[in-house]
Amino acid sequence: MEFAAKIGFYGVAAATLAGAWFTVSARNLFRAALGLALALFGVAGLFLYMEAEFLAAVQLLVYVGAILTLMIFGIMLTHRIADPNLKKWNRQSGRAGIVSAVIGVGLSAIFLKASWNQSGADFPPVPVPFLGRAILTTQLLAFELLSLLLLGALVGSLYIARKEKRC
Amino acid sequence: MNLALIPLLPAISFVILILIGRRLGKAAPLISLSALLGSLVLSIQLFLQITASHGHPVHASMVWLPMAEQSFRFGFLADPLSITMCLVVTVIGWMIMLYSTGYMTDDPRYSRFFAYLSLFFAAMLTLVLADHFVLLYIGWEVVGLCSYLLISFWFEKPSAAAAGKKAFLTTRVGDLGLLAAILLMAKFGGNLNFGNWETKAQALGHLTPLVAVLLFWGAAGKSAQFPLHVWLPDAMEGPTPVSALIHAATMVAAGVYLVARCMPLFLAEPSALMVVATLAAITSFFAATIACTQTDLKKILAYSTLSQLGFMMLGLASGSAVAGMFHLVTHAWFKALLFLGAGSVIHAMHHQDTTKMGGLLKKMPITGATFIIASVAMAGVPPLSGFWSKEEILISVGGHLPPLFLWVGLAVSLMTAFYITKTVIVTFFGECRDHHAHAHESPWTMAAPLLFLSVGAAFVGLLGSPFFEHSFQHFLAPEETGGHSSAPAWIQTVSVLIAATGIGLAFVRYQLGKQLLPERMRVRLRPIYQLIDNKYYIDEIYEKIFIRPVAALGRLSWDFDAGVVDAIVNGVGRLTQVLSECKRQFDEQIVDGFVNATAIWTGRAGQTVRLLQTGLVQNYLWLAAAGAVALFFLIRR
Amino acid sequence: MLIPTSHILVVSAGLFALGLFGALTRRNAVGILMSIELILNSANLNLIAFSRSWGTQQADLQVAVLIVIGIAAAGAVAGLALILAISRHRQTIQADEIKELKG
Repeated sequence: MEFAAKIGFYGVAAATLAGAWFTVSARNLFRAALGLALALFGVAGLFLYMEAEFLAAVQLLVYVGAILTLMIFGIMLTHRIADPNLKKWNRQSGRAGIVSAVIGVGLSAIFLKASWNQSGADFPPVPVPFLGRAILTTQLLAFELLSLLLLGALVGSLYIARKEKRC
Repeated sequence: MNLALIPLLPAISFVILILIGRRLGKAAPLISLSALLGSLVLSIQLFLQITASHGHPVHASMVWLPMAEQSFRFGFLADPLSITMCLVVTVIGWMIMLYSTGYMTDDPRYSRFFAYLSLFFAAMLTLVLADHFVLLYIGWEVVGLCSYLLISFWFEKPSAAAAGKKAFLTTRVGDLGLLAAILLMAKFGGNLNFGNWETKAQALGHLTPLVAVLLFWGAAGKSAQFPLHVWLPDAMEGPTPVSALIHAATMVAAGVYLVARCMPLFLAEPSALMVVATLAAITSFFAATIACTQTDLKKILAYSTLSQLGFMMLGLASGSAVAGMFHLVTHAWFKALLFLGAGSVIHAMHHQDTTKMGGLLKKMPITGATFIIASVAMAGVPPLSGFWSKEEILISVGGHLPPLFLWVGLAVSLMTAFYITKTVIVTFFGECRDHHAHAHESPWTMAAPLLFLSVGAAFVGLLGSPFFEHSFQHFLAPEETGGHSSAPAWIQTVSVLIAATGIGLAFVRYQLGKQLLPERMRVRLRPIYQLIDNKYYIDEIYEKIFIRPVAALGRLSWDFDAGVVDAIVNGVGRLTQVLSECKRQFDEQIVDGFVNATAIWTGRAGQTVRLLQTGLVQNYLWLAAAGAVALFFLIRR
Repeated sequence: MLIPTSHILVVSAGLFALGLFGALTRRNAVGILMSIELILNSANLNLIAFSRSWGTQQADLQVAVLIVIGIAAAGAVAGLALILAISRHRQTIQADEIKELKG
């Protein structure tokens, strides 16, 4: 059972990374969006493995349900999305790859070397009511600020994206 | 206060007219006329005040320069002498100004003319009312300026411009004498106020004759006495009212006034009086001879004015200020009238050549009649005014000067009667010799002054006659007894006879057309006639003696200027140029080199750094990431 | 659970590296936006991993994840609005064709 769980975890992790890679490298942007969906699903699965069921649900609802849909709308609304003649990467892909690789490998090396508090795995999962209480008590300010930010983003994007009458 | 207002009113009028006269247009004379009328009324009021107080002068003075021991004062003085001048100037001046409104009607610079006239009156009244030589000199000079401006009023005519220049320069030669006299008096004579003449003469000592002659020299310039008389005939280029006002009645009389004012100084020095008498006699005699030969109407009157001014000076030289002043007053009336009449004729005929006139009496009755009255007055027919003043002078001359001067005076009287009668006959009688002319009587603004002046020309002399108990003489100089007792008794009779002879000769020659001299004698006298007709060649002599050398000297100094002074200046300029060229090189090569090098290196550095600024967001992001990596390795070390 | 924290962190590092690579190289602006979502996800993953190892403030860390998701949503909305405006204005959303600020 444990072994199966481990296999499942690594499988989900590999799927996540594969989805991420697909997001980054797909020539067709629509396919990249599908890759992103895979990656997001994978992250939600990882959340489940870490016993954060509520967050996994939120991840699915917000990311896959809202943001990804928005992305696909954006892809549909802009031009030349699926043009195969377009290069997918720009000219600095070489050095960008090096830097990204150094960061990824470096971070991984540090993470693997460091001694983490392994016993933390024993903590029981947090019940959802706790989260709700935290949002409305200790994290209230951040929560309200976030709501303001969302309102600002809503109004601002409406303003930016509206059709200008002059043009 | 009233005293100062007399010259001030015309001055105000001048300021108004010169500033906004053009906008006033035909209304411009109203201002100058009313201003002068104010002066006239004030003068009459002063005159009454002085007569009421038996010649006690009115004096208003103010402090000019306050100084330690004695502050420098000057002001206005109205004594019988100056108030007489004042009345002559204002009364005759007002008439002439009224006349000018008609005479100058069509002139484009109408208001300008009245502005100049107002300035003239302001200056002239300052001159006669001054109680101080400096103030008198100021008026004297401004009057000369006005004379210049008015002679060359029609400066489009080259001859008028030249005449103005000539008048200005010639009178300036005379003014120099007056200035020298004033300076000498200021230095040695104590003060410059009028009065205290005995103290002044004593203080001057042996300089007295020099000062007196210099004063007369100034007076000669202004009153056109020989040898400074050359400007007056040319001054006839000006408008005729100007000739009447300035060059017959008032300004040229300023010299006579000056000598009369300084009479005590002359009386203290008989030799100076002899100089005055000689020059006056020369002027009077020669001008009269020239007047006989002239045919230009205004030139005749100009030489006649010269002659009469000489006559006044002769009267003064005989030691009688009263005689000279008396003739000045009567002369102002009849000569102004003569000029205005001549102006009326010229206005009608559009030329002034008497040989082309004739028979004008019928066409211009008022002008003709008044002209004849003035002529008769000047010829010396009793009881018109000229007779009384001329007789006064002749009596004084006969009583105090050598007999020669009396003979000259009588000869001048004879010639005066002759030439003025000739002029009248040629102009107003006989047949018209120019049939193109459509002569007509002048408008009332010109006729009214003629009538008024003719009354004065006829009767002013009576004030100095025995019928009025010589009231003029008593008013002017109560203490002067006059030369009646010492003069030969026959003078009065002879002067009447002489006037009659002159008129008769002219009548015979020009009305009846008979030659006065036998043919042989006329041929013999031809050169003399030529000499006189050319005004004794005095202008030509001056041209040779003074003008040519001065012009040559001027050219010489011009050459010096161009050759030497300019060369030095140019050399300095060239040197500066060379120096600046060196400095420019230094500036361009070295200073600018540093500046430019700094700029170039800054520019290159900017070009290099500029490459980082690609404008691509992802490029910046990459730099940030690479920077984070680099930082990580740096910190780790 | 037996899965070591470090392994989860390695997965998150991989996500981060891939997301960074995409953000640096994708030419299409929507692609860049998607790559940034990947980076944010890797951060969320980290937060959850740490919340499990230090249990004391587990709830607070999970709320932080919620807030990050909200911020990501706001960012996506604003970014897409910008992309829409740009595409309407310049007829392109290729990031390397937009370089007005080149010095």
